[in-house]
Amino acid sequence: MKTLTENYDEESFLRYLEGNLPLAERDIMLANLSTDERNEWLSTESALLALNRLPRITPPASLVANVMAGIARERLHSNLSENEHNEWQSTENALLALNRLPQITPPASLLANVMAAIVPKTAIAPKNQPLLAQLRNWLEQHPLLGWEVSGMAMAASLLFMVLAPSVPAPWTSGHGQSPHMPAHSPYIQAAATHTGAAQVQHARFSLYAPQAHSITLIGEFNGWGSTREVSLRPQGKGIWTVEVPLPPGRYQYAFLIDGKDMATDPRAEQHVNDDFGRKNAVLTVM
Amino acid sequence: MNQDTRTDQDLIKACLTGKSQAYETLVKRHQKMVLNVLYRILGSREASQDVSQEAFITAYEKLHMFSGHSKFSTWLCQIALNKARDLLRGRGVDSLCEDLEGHKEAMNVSDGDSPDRNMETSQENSRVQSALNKLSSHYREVLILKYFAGYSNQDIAEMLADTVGNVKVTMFRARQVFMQAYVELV
Repeated sequence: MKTLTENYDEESFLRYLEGNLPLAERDIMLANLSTDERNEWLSTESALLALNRLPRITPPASLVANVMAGIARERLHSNLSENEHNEWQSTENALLALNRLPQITPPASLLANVMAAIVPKTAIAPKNQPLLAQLRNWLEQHPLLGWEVSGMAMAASLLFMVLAPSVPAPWTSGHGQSPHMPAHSPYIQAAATHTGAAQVQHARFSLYAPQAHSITLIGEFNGWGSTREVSLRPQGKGIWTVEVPLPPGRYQYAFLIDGKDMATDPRAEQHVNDDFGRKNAVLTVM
Repeated sequence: MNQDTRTDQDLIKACLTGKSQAYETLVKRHQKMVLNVLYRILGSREASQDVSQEAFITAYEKLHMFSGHSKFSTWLCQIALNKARDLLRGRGVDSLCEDLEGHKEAMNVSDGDSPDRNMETSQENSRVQSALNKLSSHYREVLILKYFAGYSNQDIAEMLADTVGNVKVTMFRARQVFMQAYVELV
């Protein structure tokens, strides 16, 4: 490292770097310097200028909040007695230690066991099945008929499906039901529409809810309301209905009243527990 | 390995339309948080793994009930906490951790510091866990959720089905009790 020579003193050098050396004095000083000394002065000056021009980063939004929280904390601390201060400090240290507790790594078996235990959400019956096979599947899944399906049971059920009324009658939910209500709701209308190879049927969902302002249908067929909103329309006398085209399959569903209250279909062909202590209705479309 | 960048909400939608493989990403994404919160609350590695597993399976089964108003992680943690509480209640205890001997691995650190420093940190971790174990489970819950897992008071209120005000009060008391327990061990 170079040492200062007799040509200039340190004070003048510092005044020069800080821009406090008058112009005339500066020229005299520079003129008296050796080439090496002059280069040292100028390179030091340009390095400091570059330092001054270093890019500025934007402070994060949390900075102000942290500073203000720190000030508030300091103010609070200044009002504490020594004992209170120590107590405060101990708590802070303890919580900091809690935050730094090491994390354990999940074993590979956790993911494997979870994935082995779950079954796909939508268990839709295979399409393009002959109608008789679809009917057999449905009957096999029916809780009353069980797995052993006799030809007579199939015939009786088929007869029921054909004779089932296509328009629902009003009924009351929870406090008694109309004697005119058919055995199952929603209704699979007798006149099914055909789209391509898969037979799509129109299912009519109805609910008696005179106090409701809006009712939506949520179920496995619309991602429980996440993929498509299906709203029921008021038909008068507290009855709300909607008709939904559905491909063959077995679907769980429920009604969402006023966007917050879940209600099951009291006339559903079957109910299953939903783990919240409520019951989802089940519909089978053949 | 390509990381699945879909949001939790997108993955949930995929699950609800029958694509159950999407759930694998959700499990991978959240298993560490669930397992560690449960481990610190229950104090048993084995039980925390079992409860984590159950929580993920139940969450999948109830996925259609997830409203999307809260974060999936908050909702999942709520299920896990309920299961942990059921387990503790069923056994009539506040913690499953009888001693820290079987948990040395979870207290140890090896982050490049000197062996002395690591030993000191491990001892401090053991002290923290011991202090936590002395707390009643509802105090332990809020402290772990707030200071270990980093959840906000709002998230914790949702998980505990309580108000933010009540969570703050519980947190205040929990801090006091925890501090006393911690200082006694120093």
